[in-house]
Amino acid sequence: MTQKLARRFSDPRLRLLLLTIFLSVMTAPNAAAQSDKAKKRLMSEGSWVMIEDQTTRAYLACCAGGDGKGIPLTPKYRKIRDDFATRPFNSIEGTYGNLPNCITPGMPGLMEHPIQFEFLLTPGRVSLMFQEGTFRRIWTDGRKFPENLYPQPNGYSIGHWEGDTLVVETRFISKEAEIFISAPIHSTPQTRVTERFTVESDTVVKLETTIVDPELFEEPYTYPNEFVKVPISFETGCAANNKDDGNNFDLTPPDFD
Amino acid sequence: MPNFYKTAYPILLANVFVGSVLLSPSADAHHSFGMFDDKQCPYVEGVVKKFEFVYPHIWLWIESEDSDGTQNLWGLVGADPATLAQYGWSQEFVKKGEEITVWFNPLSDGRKGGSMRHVKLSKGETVSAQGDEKFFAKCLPTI
Repeated sequence: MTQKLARRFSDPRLRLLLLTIFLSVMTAPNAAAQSDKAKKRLMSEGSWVMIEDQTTRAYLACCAGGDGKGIPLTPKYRKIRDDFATRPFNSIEGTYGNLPNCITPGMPGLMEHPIQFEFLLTPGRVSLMFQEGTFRRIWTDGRKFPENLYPQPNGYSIGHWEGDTLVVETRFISKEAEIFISAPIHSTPQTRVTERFTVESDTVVKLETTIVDPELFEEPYTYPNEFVKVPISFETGCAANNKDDGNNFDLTPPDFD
Repeated sequence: MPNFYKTAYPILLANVFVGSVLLSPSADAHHSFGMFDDKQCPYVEGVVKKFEFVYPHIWLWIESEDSDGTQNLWGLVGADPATLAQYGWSQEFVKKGEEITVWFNPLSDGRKGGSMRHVKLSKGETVSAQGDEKFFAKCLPTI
């Protein structure tokens, strides 16, 4: 009996299995603790905003005279992007996008805008609430994607935690959603977005986004982003203050009281 | 070399390095800068009637007085609150009744409004109203 057991333990495959189980058991509480800490950091008072260097990156990716180098667009969409990126911004032709009409940019372009947002974590769900009024639902209750779903601008998102990183996949994005912060390139029924939100500290969240869409991109397009926590939280409606959309500049005085 | 680079790249270089692109990283998706004259960079001194730290862009309403005593109301727009929050701006950053100076690119149509570039607060501090301004034509505070 003892010899039989000893023979079994000498099997390298069994040893590897036992080592894996041991490491999983030992690291699981650590990963859970990391997740708990990350969740608290996401939920602390204040709101998250994109750092300005990343705002610049986002604008150079879509337009702003950027050459779009490294963005693996298909030839058709490469031409659309390049034509848009080189047009004069100091004209009405330079304005484009959902936001001038107070429509949410949709995914994934929404995360490229300098809009404040807050995380709200509840059992089985992470919600992102944006200053301009839109929100995202990320289901973390272990569900699978449905086979069919009515597409919406921010799509349908499922996420899970890997230590201090929230991994999110989004599908079923509607066609008015924007890929970039601007530029007339929109999500398609094939668009799938994977995001990795890594909570670096109390005040820094890094985001790696990968877009897969064979209609738009020749290969997966991955880009970085970074957000910092600022000590202000407030809500404003886009339409309520939309005095300077397109080429309009409304100088009707507000209520000064 | 692809045609794109032959035709458009010189324009890109001109835009980026000469600084002729009037693009705010925080605002171009929302409104055109064609309505402002970026070659002009005047300033106005006045009293704050209202400060709106709102999305999509902040607004400052200032009342100035001409030498003949005429009162003028100016409506001036800045960047978005999310960007400016990183530079210390908040709802309380500029107070009603405060005497301030604002440098701006004026509206081309002559109305009393424009795109704010810098604000000198009553306590003497001068701050940008557009973040890092890297995409803007030069417009620096003069006093």
